[in-house]
Amino acid sequence: MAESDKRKTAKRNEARSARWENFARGLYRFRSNRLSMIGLLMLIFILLVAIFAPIIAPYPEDAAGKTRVMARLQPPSEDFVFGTDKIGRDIFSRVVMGTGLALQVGTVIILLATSIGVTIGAVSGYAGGWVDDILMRITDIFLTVPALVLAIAISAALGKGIINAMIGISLVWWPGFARLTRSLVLSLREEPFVEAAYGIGAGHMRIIFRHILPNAVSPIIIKMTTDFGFAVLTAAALGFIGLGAQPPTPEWGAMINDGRRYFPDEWWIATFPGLAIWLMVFSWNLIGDGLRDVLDPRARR
Amino acid sequence: MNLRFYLLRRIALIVPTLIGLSILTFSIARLVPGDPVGLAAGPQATEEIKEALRREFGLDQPLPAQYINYMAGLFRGDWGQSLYTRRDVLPDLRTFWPATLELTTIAVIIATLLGVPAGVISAMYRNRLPDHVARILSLFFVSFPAFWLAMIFQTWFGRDLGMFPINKRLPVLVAPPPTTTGLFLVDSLIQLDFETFMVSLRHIFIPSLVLSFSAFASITRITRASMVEALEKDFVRMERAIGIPYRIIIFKYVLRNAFIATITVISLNFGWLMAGAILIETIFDWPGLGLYAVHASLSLDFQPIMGIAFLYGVVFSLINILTDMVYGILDPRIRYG
Amino acid sequence: MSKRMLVIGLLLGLLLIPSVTSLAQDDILLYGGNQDIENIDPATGENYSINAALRSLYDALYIYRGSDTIPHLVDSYEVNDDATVWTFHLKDNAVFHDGSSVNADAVVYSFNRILAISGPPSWRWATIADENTAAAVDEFTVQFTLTQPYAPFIGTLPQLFVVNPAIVEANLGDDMGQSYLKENAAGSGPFTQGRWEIGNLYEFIAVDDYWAGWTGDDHLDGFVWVIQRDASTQLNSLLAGETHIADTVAASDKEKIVGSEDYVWEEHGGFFTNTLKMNNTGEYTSDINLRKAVAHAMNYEAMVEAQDVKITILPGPTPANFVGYVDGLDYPKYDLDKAREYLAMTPWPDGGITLDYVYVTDFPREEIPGLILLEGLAQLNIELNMIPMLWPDMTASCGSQETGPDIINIYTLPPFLDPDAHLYNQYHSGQWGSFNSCSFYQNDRVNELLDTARVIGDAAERAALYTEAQEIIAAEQPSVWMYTEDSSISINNCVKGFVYSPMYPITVLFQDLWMEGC
Repeated sequence: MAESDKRKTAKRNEARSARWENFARGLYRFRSNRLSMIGLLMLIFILLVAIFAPIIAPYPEDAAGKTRVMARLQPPSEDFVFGTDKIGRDIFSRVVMGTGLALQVGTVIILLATSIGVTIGAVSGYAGGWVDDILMRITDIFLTVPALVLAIAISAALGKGIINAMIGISLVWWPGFARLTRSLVLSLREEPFVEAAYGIGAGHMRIIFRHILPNAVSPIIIKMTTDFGFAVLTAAALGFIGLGAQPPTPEWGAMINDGRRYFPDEWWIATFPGLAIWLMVFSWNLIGDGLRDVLDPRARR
Repeated sequence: MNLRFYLLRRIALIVPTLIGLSILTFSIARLVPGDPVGLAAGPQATEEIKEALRREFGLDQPLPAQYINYMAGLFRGDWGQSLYTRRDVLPDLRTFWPATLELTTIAVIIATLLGVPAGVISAMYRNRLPDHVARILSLFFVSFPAFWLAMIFQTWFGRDLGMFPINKRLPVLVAPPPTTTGLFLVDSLIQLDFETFMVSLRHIFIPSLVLSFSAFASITRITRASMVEALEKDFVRMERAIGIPYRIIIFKYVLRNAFIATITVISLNFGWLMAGAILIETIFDWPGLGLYAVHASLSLDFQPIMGIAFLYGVVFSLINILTDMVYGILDPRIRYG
Repeated sequence: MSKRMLVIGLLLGLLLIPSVTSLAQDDILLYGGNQDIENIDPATGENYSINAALRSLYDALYIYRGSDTIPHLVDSYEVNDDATVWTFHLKDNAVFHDGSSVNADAVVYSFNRILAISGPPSWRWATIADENTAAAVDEFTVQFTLTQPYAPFIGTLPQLFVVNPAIVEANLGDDMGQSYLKENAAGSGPFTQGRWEIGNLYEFIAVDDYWAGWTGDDHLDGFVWVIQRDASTQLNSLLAGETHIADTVAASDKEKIVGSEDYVWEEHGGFFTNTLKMNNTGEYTSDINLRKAVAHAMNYEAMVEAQDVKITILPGPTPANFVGYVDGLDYPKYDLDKAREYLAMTPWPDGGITLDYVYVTDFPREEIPGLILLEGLAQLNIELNMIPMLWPDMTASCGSQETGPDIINIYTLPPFLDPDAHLYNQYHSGQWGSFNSCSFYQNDRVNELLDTARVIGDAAERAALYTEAQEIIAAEQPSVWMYTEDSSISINNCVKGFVYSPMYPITVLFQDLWMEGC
C-alpha cells in the first residue's frame, strides 16, 4: 500500500511538474506576444479604475442618484471631462463607477456558465451512453437558438434587472462550455493515467475532478477569456434594450440607450460609455487571442 | 447513401430538437410572473371578462394540456396571438421576417467579402505586417457594441456626409415592390425595377455593414487557420516545388480546401447575426423582427417571444442542413452517412 | 484579381450615386409620428395617434376645432331639463365610403358596439348608459336616454365614431368585427386607407367628393403617417424635406426649427397634465403624512430646468388655464424641512423604507422626475425604486389596489372642456381600475360633490361644488401635482391651415390642412 501511495504521489508530482513546465513555456510565449501584453495592460488599467473608482471619479455620488439640473447636457469641459447627461450627472464619474459593475457582470456570467457547462460536459463525456445522449440533446436545443434571442426571452421572463439579466445570459451561455468539456473529457478518458486511477479504485467524482478536469483546464480557460468580452457585450445589449440594470445604476449599455435620444447633438452621453465597453471587450479579446496561441499552438502557426 | 435520403434523415432529426425547443420556449413563457390576462383584458375588465379571456387563451387548463395545445397550434400554423396588439403571431412574423432575413443575408455577404480576403492575406503573409494588421482590425471591430457603432455610422454616413439614407428600407414615397419573397432586393429584380433595387440597396448598406462587423473576426480567423493548414499540405508543397505560381495555387487549390471550414463558420454567423439584427434594427427603424422582439419582451408578451425563438430555431436548423449540403458540393469526398 | 476589384469598386460606386427620389406630384403630406397606429377600431383604440387616424377615416357626431366642439354629423339637438334625454337630428347627406347613408341606425349600432366591447373609449359612457340608451327615432334622428343625468354629454361625442354596420356585420367573426376593424376602416371620413404597412407607415387617401366638403382653401390629396420614434430622426427628416410635419422634436432642438424661415415651431400651453399618483391604499402611501412628505421632497424648480419641454407647475389638482381651476389652494413646494416634519408624523420617522416609482420605459420625461424625486427622498432616508414599464403594463397595474404601485407617473388629457372631465375620472372612487384613478383615492364627500355636479345645469352652482371638492382633494394630497406641458409641433411652412387644438395637442386635424408649393 505504502509503495503504491508513493508511486501515486510521484506520478502526481510528475504530472504537476509537467503541467507547470507547460505553463511556464506558455507564459513565456504569452509574454512575447506583444498584442496580448497590450491587452493585459489594458485590463490591469481597467481593474485599477474599478478598484479606485470612488477616488478617481470626481463626483462618485452621481452614480447613486445625485442630480445637477443646472448643469445638464454640458459638453466635455474641465469640470466635466466627458460632459454631463440629461440631468446633469457627470458622465466621466458614471463611466468610472460603472467599470466595476461591468467586470462583475462578466465574471458572474462566465463563472456561472462555466460551472454549469463544465459539470454537464464532464458528466456527459465521462458517463457516455444514454446520459450523454440526453445531456447533449438538451445542449443542442439551447444551441438551436442564437444566445441573444434566448437571453432576451429568459431575462424578460425573469423580470427586468441586472441580476436577472446575468442569470438569463448564463443560462444560455453554458452549452459552449459543455460541448468543449465533453470533447476534452472524451479524449482524456482513454488516457493511461485515468485508467490507472480507475484501476486503483478511485471514485468517479474523484477521477473527473482530480484527474481529468485538471488536464482540460487550458482550453476551458481560453474559452473563458475569449467569452468574457462577449458576455460583457451581451449584458450591455440587454441594458441597451432596457432589460438590464435599472436607473440610476451606471450600467454602460443603459447609458448608451440614455444618450441615444440626444445623439448626435449631445454626442458625449452615448459616446463615452460605448468607448468604455469597447476598451473592456477589446482588452479581453486581445488576451484571449494571445492565450489561444499559447495554450493551443496549433491554432496559430 | 444518397443525398435525398440524407436530407430526409437530417430533416427528420430536427423534429426532436424542435420539440425540445418548444418545451423550452413554453417553459420560459410560463416563467412570466404576474397575470398576462390582466394586461390583455385592459384596465377596466371585470373578473368575468378576465375569466373568459383565460378560457380563450387556454390558460385555465393544466400545464401539460396547455403545452399540447400549443404544440398542436404550432403544426396547424396557429402560433397564438399577441396579448398586446391582439394580432396573430404567425402573420406578424411573416410580415417582419423578410426584412430581417434580407438585412442578415447582406451582412453575411459583406462579412464574407471582407473576412475571407483578410484571412487569405493573413495566411499568405503569415506573421508579417499584413497578418498583424488584419488580426488587429478584426479584433478591433468585433469589440464594439454593434448598437453603438450603428448610431455612429448612421450619423456619419447618413446625416453628416449625406451619403446614405438614415433609416428604413425605402423612402416613404417609394412603394415597396410587389411581394413575392418580401425581400425588396429580390422582389425588385423580379420586376426588373432597377431603380427600386438601387434605392433599397442604398438603404440596406449601412445597417448590414455595421451588422457584419461582429462576424468579421471569426470569419477572418477561420479562413486564416484553414488556409495555413492547407498550405502545409504535401500536395501544396509539391506544387510549389514544381513551379506553379503561388497565386494560382492559392486560388485554385488552397482556397477551395480552406473554404470548407469557413463555410461552417459563415453559417454559424448567420444565426448570430440574425440575433444581432435585433439591436441594429431599433437604431435604423428597420421594420423587421427586432423591433417586434424588443417590444414583445419588454411587455412580457409571451406568444410573440415564443414564436420568435421558435422561428430562429427552425431557421438555424435549416441553415445547418444547407451548410452540410454545400460541403458536399465543395468536397465530393464527403459522404453523407 | 484586379478585374474583380474593379467590379467591386464599381458596385460600391453605384451605391454612392444618390438616386433620384421620385417626389410626389400630388399634395401628399408626410407626417413624422412618434407613435404607431396599432389599431383603428373605434371601439377599442384610443390614443393620440389612433385618434388622428380615426378622425381621418371616420366621422363623429361632433368634432373639435380649436377649443370648440362643433356639430359634425349633427345638424341640431334638443335636451330635456334634467340632462337625461338627448335628441340629435343628423345631417341627411352624410355617406359612408361605400355610398350608403350615415343614418340613425348606424349611430345606434356604433354606440352599442362600443358599450358591448367595453374597450378603452367606453369609459365615457359606461356609467351613464346601457344597451337601451341609444335609439333611432326616425332615419335621421337619434335619441340617447341616459341612465342618469349628465350635463357634459356633448363633450364626449367627438369620440363616437360611426361605423358602417353593413361592413361590420359582413366581417363579424366571433369578436364583433374587432379582428377586421383593427386594420380595416368602415367609415365615412375625409380619407380612406392606402398603403398600410404595420409598424412602418400608414397612407391615407383623400375622398375627393367628401360629403361634408373640405374646410380649407384647398385640401390634401392624402397623407402618410410615418412612424419615427426617435426625436432626432424626426428632426433630421423634417430638415431634409423628407417629412412636412414632425410631432416630437426635442425642445432643445427648437432653435434649429425657429432659426429657419422654412419651418414653424407651434408651441402652445395645454392641458396635458402630469401627476405622480400615489396609491392611497398602499402599505406606506396610505399614510397622508407620508404622501405630504413625498410631495414636499419633489424639487419642482429643478424639474422645470431638467425637462426637455416647457412645463408649468400645477397649482393643485386642476391646471390654472382649465375650467374649474380654484385659485389660492395651498399646494406643496420643495421644502425638505417640511418634508421631514411630515415624515416625523408617520410610523417611519427616520425613513428606512423603499417606495416603487413606475414610469414609461424609454421616456425621459417620466424618468427625469423620478430621478429628481429619488434625490429628494434619499435625504429623508427613503429609497426610490425606479421601475420602467410599458404603458399597457402600467394601465394593467392600475387595475386593482393590490397591484397599484406606490407611485406612478401618469399623463392625463381631459377629453373635453369641463371640470367633470378632469376631476371625475381621477378622484371619484367609482372610477377605480382606470389609470386615471391610480391613486385609489376615496372620499365620500368628494364622491357626492362630483356626482351632484354632474347633473346640475347651473354653472355657478356647479363651480361651487367643484371648488369644495378640490379643497378637500388638495388637503388630502392623493397625488403629487406636477405640471402641465406645452405641446409643440414642427411644421414646414408650405403646409397651410394648421389650427392648434388643446384637445389633440400633439397632432393635427389633417382634413383642414393643405399644401402650397411644397
